Amino acid sequence: MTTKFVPVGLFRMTVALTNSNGYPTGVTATPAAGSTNQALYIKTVQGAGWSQGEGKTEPFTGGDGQYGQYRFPDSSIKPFNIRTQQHDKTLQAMVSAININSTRNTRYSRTGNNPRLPALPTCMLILTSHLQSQDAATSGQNQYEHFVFPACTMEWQYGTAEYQTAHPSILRVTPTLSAKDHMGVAFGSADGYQDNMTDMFDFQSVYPIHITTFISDGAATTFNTFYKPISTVVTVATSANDMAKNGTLTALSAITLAGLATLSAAGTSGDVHVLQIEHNEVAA
Amino acid sequence: MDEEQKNPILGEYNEDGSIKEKPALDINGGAYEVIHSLARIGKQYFVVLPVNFNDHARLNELRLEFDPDYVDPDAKVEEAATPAPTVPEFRSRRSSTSEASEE
Repeated sequence: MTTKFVPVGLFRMTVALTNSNGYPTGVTATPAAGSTNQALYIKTVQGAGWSQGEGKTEPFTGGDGQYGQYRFPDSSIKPFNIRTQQHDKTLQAMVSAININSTRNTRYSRTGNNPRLPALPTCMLILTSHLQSQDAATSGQNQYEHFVFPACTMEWQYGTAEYQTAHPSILRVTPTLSAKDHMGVAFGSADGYQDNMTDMFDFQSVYPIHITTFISDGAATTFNTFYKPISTVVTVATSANDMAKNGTLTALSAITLAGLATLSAAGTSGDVHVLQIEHNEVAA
Repeated sequence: MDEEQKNPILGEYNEDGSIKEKPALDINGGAYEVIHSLARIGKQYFVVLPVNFNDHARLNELRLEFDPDYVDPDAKVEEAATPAPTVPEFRSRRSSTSEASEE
């Protein structure tokens, strides 16, 4: 656990669509039973300039003087842009609710603008930065800080083409309040947010994180992570392999260093298991 | 499944549930770069799903074809929703028609 640190540069973004219960479901909002769904990550993020509300101060005036003032708070995160050099068609398709058409002609993968879409799908977004710890026990250690927007929409905007100039794509992010975190676990008194809701929070980890969602089919008890985890410890709420089942923290039965996760029970078809692991960038 | 008959959209699991072999194509027959989403087809096989895949009926078909233990949930629903006609009712209609023609 790191409590004092210096953030030093954007590292990557992680995105997953969320279902109607606020659980992350990878690149599909309605994944099938028996499916394993990985959050999408982009390493080539160049910038993400979010800002918070400015609030308003109303002075009490009368006669020839000030009688005090009242401050209306507003720390909400305003819509902001993420700039990325890499045009990732999976990301474009998932946030625009379209398909990548590679069947019309298998030589090409086709995606496009979706201006008639009536409502954008809801996503969970994590922007991860490097950090250097300033705590006594871990001073100088390089770790990771995760800025989490648990509920937001993202609009894909093509970059402008210019002569001999890179034209990065833009993602317009609009965060909103959420009663649940990025794994679908409800906020509570341990967080202390007013009405147990927030639009952004952050946490730190020693290694990068990744999120996998397994939708139970009532029979299978194993699924595979995208990266190899750094630990096989599965203790609930204390380990680097953090899992929630239908929004409730639940321990895995086991996980191997190769990334094979085993549930304690197959559960009911449709149960949503969200597993966050810490990894060392080694694909499973 | 024989090597020669290998279905290009089916990946295979090892007995412990780890991935033995990735399929050549996704469920739609399209090429893929990274497996973002996959679905089990019984204990032995899986298919790679493209972004925003929601054709659950197609998955159902594959499970019926390749998973001997799979029970079609849609068939169960249809059976429950549509009661089979009873034999006595059917017979009584036929008998009344034949009586009318005889007259």
